[in-house]
Amino acid sequence: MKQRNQLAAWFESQVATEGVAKRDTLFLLVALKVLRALSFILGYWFFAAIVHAWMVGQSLTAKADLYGLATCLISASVFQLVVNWQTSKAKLTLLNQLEHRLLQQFQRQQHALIRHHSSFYWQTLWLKHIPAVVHWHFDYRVQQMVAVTVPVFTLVAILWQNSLIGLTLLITLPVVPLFMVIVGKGAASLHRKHFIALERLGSLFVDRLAALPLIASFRVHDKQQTLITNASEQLNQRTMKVVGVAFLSTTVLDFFATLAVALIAVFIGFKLLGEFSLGPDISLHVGLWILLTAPFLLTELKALGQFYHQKAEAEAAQVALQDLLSVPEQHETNNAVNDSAFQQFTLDHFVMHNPTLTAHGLTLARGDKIQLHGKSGAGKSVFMEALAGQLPATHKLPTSVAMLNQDVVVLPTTLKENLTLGAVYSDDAIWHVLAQVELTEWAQKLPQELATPMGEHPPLSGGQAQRLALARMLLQQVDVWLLDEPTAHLSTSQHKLLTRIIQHVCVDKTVLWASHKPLDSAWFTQHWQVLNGEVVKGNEVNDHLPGATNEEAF
Amino acid sequence: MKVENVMKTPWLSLLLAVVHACAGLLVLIVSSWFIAASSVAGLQFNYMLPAVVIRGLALTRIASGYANMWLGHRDLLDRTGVLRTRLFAQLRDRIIATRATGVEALANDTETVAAIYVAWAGHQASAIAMLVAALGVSVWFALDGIVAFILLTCVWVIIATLTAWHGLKVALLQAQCDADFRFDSEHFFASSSIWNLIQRANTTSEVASSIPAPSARKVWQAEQRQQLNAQHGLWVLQSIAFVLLMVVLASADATVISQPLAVIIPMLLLASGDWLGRSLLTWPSYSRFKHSQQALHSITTETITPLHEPNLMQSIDLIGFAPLNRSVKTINETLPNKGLVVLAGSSGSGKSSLLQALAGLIPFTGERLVDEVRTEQGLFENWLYVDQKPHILQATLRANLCLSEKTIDDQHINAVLQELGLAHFTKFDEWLGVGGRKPSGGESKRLTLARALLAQPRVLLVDEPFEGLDEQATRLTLDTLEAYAHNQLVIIATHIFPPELVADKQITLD
Repeated sequence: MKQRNQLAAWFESQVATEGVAKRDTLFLLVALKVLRALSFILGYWFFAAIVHAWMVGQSLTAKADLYGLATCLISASVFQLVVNWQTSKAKLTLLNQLEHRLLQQFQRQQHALIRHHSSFYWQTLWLKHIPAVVHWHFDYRVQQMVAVTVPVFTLVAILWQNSLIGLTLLITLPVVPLFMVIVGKGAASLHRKHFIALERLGSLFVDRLAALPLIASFRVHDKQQTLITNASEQLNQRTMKVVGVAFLSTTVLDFFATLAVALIAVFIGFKLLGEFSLGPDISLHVGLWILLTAPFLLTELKALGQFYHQKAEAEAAQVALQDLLSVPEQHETNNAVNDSAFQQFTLDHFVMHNPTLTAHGLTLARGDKIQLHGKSGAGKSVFMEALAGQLPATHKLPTSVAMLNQDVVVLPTTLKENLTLGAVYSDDAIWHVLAQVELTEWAQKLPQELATPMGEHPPLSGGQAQRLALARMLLQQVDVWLLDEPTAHLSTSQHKLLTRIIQHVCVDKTVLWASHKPLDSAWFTQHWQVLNGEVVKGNEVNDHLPGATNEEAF
Repeated sequence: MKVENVMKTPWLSLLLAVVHACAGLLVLIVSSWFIAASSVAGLQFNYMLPAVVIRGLALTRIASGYANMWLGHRDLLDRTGVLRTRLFAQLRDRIIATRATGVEALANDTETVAAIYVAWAGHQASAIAMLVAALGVSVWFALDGIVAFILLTCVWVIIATLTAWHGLKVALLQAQCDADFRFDSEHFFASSSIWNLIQRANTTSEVASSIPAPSARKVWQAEQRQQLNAQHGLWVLQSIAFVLLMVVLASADATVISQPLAVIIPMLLLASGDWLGRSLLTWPSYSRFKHSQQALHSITTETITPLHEPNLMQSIDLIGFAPLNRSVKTINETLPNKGLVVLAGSSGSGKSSLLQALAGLIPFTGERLVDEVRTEQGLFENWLYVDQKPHILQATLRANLCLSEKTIDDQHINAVLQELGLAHFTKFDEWLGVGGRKPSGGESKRLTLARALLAQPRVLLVDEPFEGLDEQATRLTLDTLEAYAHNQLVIIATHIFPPELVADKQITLD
């Protein structure tokens, strides 16, 4: 119960903002579904009247009843059709809105967010978790309200026609949710008891499939095969223990629904036969109508049961999505982007959270070359991402920045498009930057030079790819460069070559450069260090692997 | 790959599903007949029997409902288990060629295939059983409106066929949209580090969203079409049933008067949505089943041929050697029978695939000679490749470390862990991975190395052993590798060169 409230609260506060997932749609769907049920209840009245006429009235179908029934059935059908269409439409609208939200968040946080997970993770988030939330909202939540509303109407109608049956139902009905809660609690506690085992056993198969090369290398396929078979048996046994109880919940519903119909039928039959004298007199008309209408007390609740898995899926989605579906906040920063005016930038009382990082009294002037020191995991990357505005912090650079790290991106498009990224540059400008990064010779050897598609497996070594990335940045003429270990994945000779090129092309840029590999410290104008959650001015701190280097040793 | 061959049909659970559905329908029909009969009953009406029958049917429905759920679910789980076990058996000495997405998807596919009886077949069997039973009753009692009921049966068959056919068509579209989205988004996410540049490049051209993002819209639309297809099928069936009902009621003649049996056909028609509905709404499950079945049949795998360990005495010679179909330059080298060989080069220069080809995990071109004897494509026993990305198995620490068939005593394990700076891993029965301890990246890396060392391979091939390790861990790892290289051959691929690294031989790929 608590969790459901959490899910709803999360949805209302994070997702249903700024006109997204308006409650009108939800209420419209509930109203349509309730109207459909009411049409049936009224239709049953006319149907029972017709049967009554056949049996007791000794006459054939009255025109008025026939028209009444036809009207009710047509409206029930129409409501059903509108519900189908509206649900589908509302789902697609919300899906598109949430996709837009997700993209906004991607655009805001960029690599600082994406780098934490694989593309498979993000695809699952996009394809599965967003729909999970939408289905829960428009199926489960709608049905939840319908399952409460329809029984109320039904009960009022039955009470109005026959107080004895109505009162009996009114008294016994609350037993159903009570039993369901008890069963639910029992199943939940069983699930908690087996949770760790279920979690471990459940993920075993996928794990071993992913480990096939390992298993082949160690020649232990048979051993692992036995293990998987045993694990699957154990998993099934434990799962059955949990679901064996969970299924009781459905059975409780079934029990009451079926027994209600059976007992009402027997009671009404005996009343009609004159065997019982208890309660108000009853006619076949009212009796048959009650028999047909009574199931509506529980059918909607049963239908809710079919959407029950949506709740669990939406809860999983909530955990994965967190605040990714909310409108990105404009991070409260002290400055706005203004490219031309950038001269100097001071970091006073800089604070960011997650991880916590502070800085005070640091100044970055136009043309500065700053080396950023710090152990792996000290927070160099997040510091740069905060300065670039991808992570929330009190300050960000008041100018646009270009970032380069070791995740080299070569798009499958042509070499030219890889460099221009869709903007317009002359070929001369492109050849100029290629020359700057010493890729002229390589590009000239390509079959179609600038028009050569790079494809899925670009004809570039790691070092060349990184130089291509440099050329791309040069073309954009951004003044501030943030370099996050751009040579970490390169061999020493490639590192040296790239370092030389960067230092050469960066003469009039402002550069903040983090590297574990040795750099010529004389080239830098300042040294900063990330130490214990604080960025401080530091003299050259020797933090790289001592001499982490050289192939000359050989 | 054929995995779901002859598995027993779960007749009992199907039968229970049919009983459950039939009992439910019968309760309603018998009840309404009973009320009608009671209202016209003469003195000789034996009212106790129907009353008992109704209550008996109700109890039958409840009991069969639970039993059906229980048995059906157990069958689903058993079936999943068998499918997975068989699939795994067929993957002996194979590598799944598809990407990471494939493995997760396979697990889902086995479940979807196993669920066919619970999710679809039970409902279809029930619908058919109820239709046949109802037809039988109608003929037996020569009920009025039997023509209408026969028409309803035909309509159900036609709608079911159309829903199934259209559902499969939409499923194909779904699969296509899904594949398209995955392809587009793969590139999209891979380029996240230059989104800021792409954004800047396009500010001039007034694009609303400056990231050329993929959209899942088509996937979702196809999903909605699949849902609507089944819902519309049901809607049409129900509407036609209502029309038939109106016709039956309007055309009733004097024969229905005081005839309780006459309520049966109108009741069946009125409630058709309830008792035939589920059979139409489960067609999307059938589409999913077909799709998963197809996916399981078309797993693409690469075979790794297991080879016996060659008796390496002198040297390994590589002549014009390169991994097959990768743009890696060929090498001609002679490797010693023991010592430390270093494969140097930047990421992307092909070190990993060269190492894998050498071990025999992937095919190679050229020649791989052991003691001047040409060897076949394949994986040598006792030559172990340690992946750059450590794979910690979901298992206990002991099972992770003692993966091979060899028995290894605790002292030896402790010694290796100590050497690699992992002495803090003391509980050998501790579970690692999901639902247990999650070692850090650096720890995982060294644990997988420890696992390989404990298997005492003749040739140890380690991909990027120092990546992501701090200074101390790097030194310990290097010391361990050097010590092992005293007696055996150790080949490492690396772009990181700790200063203490002294190789017996270096091959540069850049």
